[in-house]
Amino acid sequence: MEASRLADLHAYVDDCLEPDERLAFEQQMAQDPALARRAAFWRGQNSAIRTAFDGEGARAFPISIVRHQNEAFGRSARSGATGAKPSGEQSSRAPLTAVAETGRPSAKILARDAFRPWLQWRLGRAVVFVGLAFVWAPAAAVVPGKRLGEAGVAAFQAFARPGVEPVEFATGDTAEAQAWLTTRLGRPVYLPATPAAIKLIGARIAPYPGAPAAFLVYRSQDRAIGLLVQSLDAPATMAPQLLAADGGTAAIWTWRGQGLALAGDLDAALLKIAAEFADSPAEPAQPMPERGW
Amino acid sequence: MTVVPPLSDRPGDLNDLRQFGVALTRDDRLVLDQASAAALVDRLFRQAALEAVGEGVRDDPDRATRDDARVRAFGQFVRLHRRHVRRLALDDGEFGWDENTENARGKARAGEIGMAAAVRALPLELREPLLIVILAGFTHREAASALDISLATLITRLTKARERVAVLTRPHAAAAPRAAVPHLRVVK
Repeated sequence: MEASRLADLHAYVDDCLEPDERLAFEQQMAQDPALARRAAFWRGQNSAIRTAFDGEGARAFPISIVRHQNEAFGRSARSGATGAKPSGEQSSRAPLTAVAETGRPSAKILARDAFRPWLQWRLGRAVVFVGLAFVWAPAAAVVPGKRLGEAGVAAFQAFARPGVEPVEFATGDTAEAQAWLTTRLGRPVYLPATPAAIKLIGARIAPYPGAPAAFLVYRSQDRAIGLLVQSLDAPATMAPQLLAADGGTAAIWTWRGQGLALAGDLDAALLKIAAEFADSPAEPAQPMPERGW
Repeated sequence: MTVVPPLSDRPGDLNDLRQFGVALTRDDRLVLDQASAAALVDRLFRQAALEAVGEGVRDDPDRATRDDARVRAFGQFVRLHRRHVRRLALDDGEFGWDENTENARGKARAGEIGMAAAVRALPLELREPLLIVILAGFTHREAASALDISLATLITRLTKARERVAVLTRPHAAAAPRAAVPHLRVVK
């Protein structure tokens, strides 16, 4: 692939193109399926990387300190900041050139008294930066297990209610569901074998912060059970544990680098089924769909 | 005379920087776990903040318009981290980071590791552009500026990084299911 086209491909994948450039590149992709496949794969990879590192930097800073800083630098100058990515997702993140402008002593002040305001301003900045260094202190870590449980319960409530079509791909075969999910999500999905007490109804894609997750619907007698599967940075196994989330209950555990959340109206039986899932062997891995290069 | 704050003051930027920092510093070779990575990021950030106080004034009036503070904040962090890695590598009798240095030698077997582990297995010079673009949301020009490399070099490294990650995370169709790893790392 020629260098300029490769640069455009990266820029497209990373949302760095202007709207007209983006349109032109999409027209190129329409004529070149291999290019389109590669762009789709890299976009999926971006999403998977964001998901994999989700939460690593999410420790909150005390709002009082942040507010103090914002007041110190002034709010007004931020509104004029420019230079964000052209795409909408980046528009809320303004660069800090405006902050620099706010902090810069004006020419009039410098002319009137070049030393005093400048000294005060610099001392103020020193205090803020040293304070900022101490703000960067360990705080409560985010527990993605809770997020996993919430996503599992939310998907169950959305997709496993009576009257709602629960699955996009109806199958009772776990290997088929695994292959379908691997193709749809563009990344390997590993499913545990179905315990004998329940029956697989099918699979679908479910929302999850950062990247879509796999969701499977099972039936136990006349009740539905949902299993949400998401890739996490958790290569080891963790035993299932019950978690109350969003008015429901989910059993969460990790297995083969994935987080799993089993949600349903079964309460104690949920943990037993989750334990059977956790003990079951995996379906053989499926090949990834063609990547286009 | 122009005075430019070298570090970001926005909570969103700080969280981005922290997420980027932890992802960048943890490499399964010199920094093995999440807590160590977080501690290193804290230390580098403090160092960057204190250096910023010492630096204070910049004489180039165009600098504020050319590079925004966010780019400089990330760039400063990256430089400090590179210096740290070089020092550690020299202490270990290695030559530091370069394109041929696989950080997780022997651990990153193709198709058998997760996405985060695949990224950590990349050499630092490939990990930097990938993470700053994807996690921190930098445009390519901003990323090249923060990493102090040309745009063409950035594109080359992004291409290599993406292809290596694809290879490392590609599952083997015929591979038997892998036994569970006995140790529990940080479960997020």
